[in-house]
Formats: sequence, structure tokens, C-alpha cells
Amino acid sequence: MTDERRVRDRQVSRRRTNGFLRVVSPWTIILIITGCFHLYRGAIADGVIFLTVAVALIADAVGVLRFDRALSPGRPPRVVLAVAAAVVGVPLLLAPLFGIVDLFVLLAVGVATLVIAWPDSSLATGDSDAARAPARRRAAVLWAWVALAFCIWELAAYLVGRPSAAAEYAFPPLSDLLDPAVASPFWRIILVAGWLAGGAALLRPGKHP
Amino acid sequence: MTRIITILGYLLDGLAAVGLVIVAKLKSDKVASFGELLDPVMASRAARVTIVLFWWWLGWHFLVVPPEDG
Repeated sequence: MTDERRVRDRQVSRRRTNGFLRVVSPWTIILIITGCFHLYRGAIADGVIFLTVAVALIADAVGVLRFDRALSPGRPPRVVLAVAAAVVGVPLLLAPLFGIVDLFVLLAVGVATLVIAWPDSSLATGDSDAARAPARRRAAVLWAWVALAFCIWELAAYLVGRPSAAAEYAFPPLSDLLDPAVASPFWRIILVAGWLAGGAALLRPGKHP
Repeated sequence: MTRIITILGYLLDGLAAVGLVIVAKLKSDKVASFGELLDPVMASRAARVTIVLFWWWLGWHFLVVPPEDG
């Protein structure tokens, strides 16, 4: 094979890879893996949710769906988020755990946050101070390691604990450890408040020094 | 014993996350804060939607899905 041919093949391969990543971004691959894992563990609804969003992102990338033309609510003002958090938080705290109220509230929150997060004009701050790039890169690597370590540990605990109840007790997934806390009113307040605060922070990305 | 080791693994990972937050506060010139890291990441629709979906799923998992169902 000539050098010229090899270079041309490499360029074609790179173009294909870039084209694939433009349509199926690494984030979409994370959604697909997560969705498949949920299906594997028997959580069908969770799997369908993750895979549906992944398919929507792929369809959007190839231009089949253009949701953002119809949806562009912009970044919600702080006061709107505070009121929404209260409206969502009260029923989540007062209604019976795992009940129909929680189900409908969570579905409504899911649709609303997707509508807000989808358009590029809404949450995309795109701040990229070049001088801060090394600090951001370092933070990205460190956070990625923390997240990866958690995923591997959780996955290992799930797989090793799968054969029996005794094995699951010996290698508890994090959910098994947190579920009893969610049942307690005090910890449920902490969980719901923390969850809503996290969501509000994601829906209003701010400027950082 | 294995249960304690498993729980310690979660605790260590949580402590690492807290440590990162503290390091970002103390040495902001070296390590960006989580919020600052998210800003450029959120410019990508796939990233934005994925991150928001994972956040939403936490609420779904702990408040809607009973433990025996996963």
C-alpha cells in the first residue's frame, strides 16, 4: 500500500468517525449503555426512558427531529424556579412515597426540564475562557475518575450481589443503603430539597470566576 | 466484612467528591469548580440533556420506583 493511499484511508476513517460522533455523541452512548443496563436489570421503564431520549438525540442529530424550532422557553428566572420547586416539593414531601402523586409530579418535572434543556438557546452558556482551560481540563479528569470509580463500584456490587439475598446484603448497591433513609420523613426532606436544588442549579447555569 | 468494605467504597468515593469541591475552592487557579466545569459542557445539547436526565432519574428512582422493583 502506498503512503498516499494510507493517508487517504486514514482521512476517510477519521471523517467516518467524526460523522459517527456528530450523530452519536459520547453522551448519547452513555444514555444507550445506561438504558441497556436498566433493561438488563429488569427496570423496563427506566431503560425505555433512557433509550427514548438517546433515540431522540440521534434523530435530532441527523435532522429528523427539530424540537428546538418549537421549543425555546429560555432560561427560567430564579423566582420561577423557586415557585416551581415549592409546587413540586410540597406534594413530594406530603404524598405517600411511591404513590401516584409522586409518579405524576416526576413525569411533569421530567417533561418540563426536557423542554427547558433541549433548545441550545436555553442553558448553553458556552463560557470558555481560554486561560482557564487547564484548570477546567484538570477538574474534568478528576471528576471523571470520581464518577467512573462510583459507576464501577456500584456495578460490581450489583453484579456480585445478584445471585442471592445474602450476596446482596454482603455487596449492597447504593440504592439499598439509601432507600431506608428515604422512608424517614427527615431524610426525605433533605433528599427532596437537595434534588430540587441540584435541578435548579442545572437549569440556571451561572457565571464562575 | 464485605458489606463494610462495600459501604466504605461508597464513602471513599463521596469523600473524594467532597475533597474535589474543597480543592476547587482553595486552589481555584489549579482546579476549576464543578459549576465552572459544567458551563462549557452544557453548551452541547447531548451533554445538557444527558446530565439533566440523570438528575431527573435520581428523583424518579428514589421517589417513584419502590425498592423491590429496582
